Amino acid sequence: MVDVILDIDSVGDDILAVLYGALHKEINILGITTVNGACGSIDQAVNVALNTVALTGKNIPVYAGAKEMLNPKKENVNGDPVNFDEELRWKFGDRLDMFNEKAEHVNGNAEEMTAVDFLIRSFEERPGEIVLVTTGPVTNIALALKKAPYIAEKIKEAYILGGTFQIPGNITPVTEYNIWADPEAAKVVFNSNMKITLVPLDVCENNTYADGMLTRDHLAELKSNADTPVTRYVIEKYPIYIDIWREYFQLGGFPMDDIITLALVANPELCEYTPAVSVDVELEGELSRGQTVAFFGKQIIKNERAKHRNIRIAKSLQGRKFINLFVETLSDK
Amino acid sequence: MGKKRPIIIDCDPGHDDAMAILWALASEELELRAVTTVAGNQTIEKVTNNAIKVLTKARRLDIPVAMGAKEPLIRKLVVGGEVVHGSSGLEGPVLPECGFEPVKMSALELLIKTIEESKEKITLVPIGPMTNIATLLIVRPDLKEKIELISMMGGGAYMGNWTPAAEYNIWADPESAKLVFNSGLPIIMAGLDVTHKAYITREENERLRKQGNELSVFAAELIDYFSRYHYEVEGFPGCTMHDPTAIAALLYPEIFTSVTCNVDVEVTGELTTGMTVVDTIGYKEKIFGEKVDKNTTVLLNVEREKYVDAFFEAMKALN
Repeated sequence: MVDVILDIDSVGDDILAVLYGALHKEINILGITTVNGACGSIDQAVNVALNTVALTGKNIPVYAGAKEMLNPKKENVNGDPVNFDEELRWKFGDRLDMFNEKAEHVNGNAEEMTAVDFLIRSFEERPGEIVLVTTGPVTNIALALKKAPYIAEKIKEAYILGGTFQIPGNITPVTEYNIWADPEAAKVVFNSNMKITLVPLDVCENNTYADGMLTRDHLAELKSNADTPVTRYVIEKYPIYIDIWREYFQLGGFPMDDIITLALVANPELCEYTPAVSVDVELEGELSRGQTVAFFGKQIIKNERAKHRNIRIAKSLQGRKFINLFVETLSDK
Repeated sequence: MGKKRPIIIDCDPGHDDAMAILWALASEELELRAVTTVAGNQTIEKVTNNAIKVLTKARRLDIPVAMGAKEPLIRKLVVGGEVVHGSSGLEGPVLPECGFEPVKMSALELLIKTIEESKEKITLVPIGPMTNIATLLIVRPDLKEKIELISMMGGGAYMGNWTPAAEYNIWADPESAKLVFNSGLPIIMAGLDVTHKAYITREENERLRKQGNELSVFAAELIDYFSRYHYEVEGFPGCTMHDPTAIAALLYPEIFTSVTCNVDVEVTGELTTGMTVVDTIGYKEKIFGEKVDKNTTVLLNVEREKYVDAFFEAMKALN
């Protein structure tokens, strides 16, 4: 059993990660901390988390985290993503309403303690025992490190979804959303002494690993496997996600970034890993703010920062194994 | 046989520059009208000497060589080739003395003169930092009409060799590169994505040497020296044919795969300056609604054995 704190920004694949973590026999989620990221507001992040936990029937506390990024005044030169609603609406009609739908506050309440304080207290109380998994911008983690830098070494290890190295980004040509959304926070986390496994887009959104993406076949499998609130929810809500990613992003299915990141905690053999290297984040670049840069030492000029080798990077996902594990876990067999 | 494509090679020799020049001389489809030099792999004096020595070795004393920019447009010169190309910029094989002098004009003047005097449009082949080309486009934007295309070596979609993000030619003078990519001229980019796949193994290099003619042996010796870095530091399976790929792209487009998309250059990054930002998927337009020019054909892969065979045949054809 692995004890985990899961930090999420509450969109499609975060929801699946919560379901997966709650139902997986070897993962014990101690708490869910939330952050405003792709979901648009911290209230939405919290409500989605509460509603998702309720579906599983488990008792997992939810903590409200950062409302905004570390350096919100620094405007990204690329501006905000345009609303691509129009093209999608034309293709999918009303079905689009199920994509990142607004979550009502109906299931319980978030804890009174803040996400940052919960993180600090947890790692302080049980040094070396708890794994941190983040699937959104790492704002909460950076804030916790600023307040209590010593927790970096008390975290058993961190699995962080973020960055891209050898495939195009998913928000700009060279950046992945989570790092792009709060690059200052990612820089703080990567440059701490935390032992990190970074899970980049290279393994999650690369069509080479399309057999690890969610398709309608997997929904059909879920349907024949079990009839629970969880399976009913996924079968109803996820066709639109699959369609958007297939039609709009030309991916083989719905990419399971967040779930892969969490799954590695209990099943690290699903991926291979680079040796520990230094990874840093570009903050100043006009075109590349939010880009992850890894120092593998094969370049001509040497860089002092390359010596901070605390991050291994996941590669080569066994997609089929992963997706089977996902379907089995959600079927709660 | 149609008309030959007139080209100007703008370079900083450099072992791979030398091989690019030789390949151009060997080709019946290309007519090398001029060679201009730029500081990069070594200082401007050294690379200009090297260009002349390579042409002397090939007995082509008729090709005009002009000395170009001695430093980047804005930044300080950081010589790139000390480790890779040695202190002269072209260590290894025995080189002849210079058989002729550079022309009594600057690279910029020779570029302008050659382009103006040409009946046909000229293809530019920049395989060093793009300082001369950027200067040309600033000084004489009207000459764009007489430039057919730019086949360049530099950059990379997802990798660097000088820093983790940046390739040397672009990194050395990113402002010039930015200007060239945004010039509106059509560009073929032979970046690290493809040049790392265009390599010659040790066994293959022995085949080249055994061809026996003077310039095949010379090319094999260039590869001997140049590949040390590729084996020892970069851990590659062979000698990486960076610059010759800009020539191969003109001669054998059918052996390459590519994507045509927007390429821009990062000039303000703390970690990423000098990186080519290659928007293969068109995210700028897709996500931010920003209209962008598909200014560049980015080479991504090559049928390596065909490439190697073509290069060997070219070297054999040189007397």
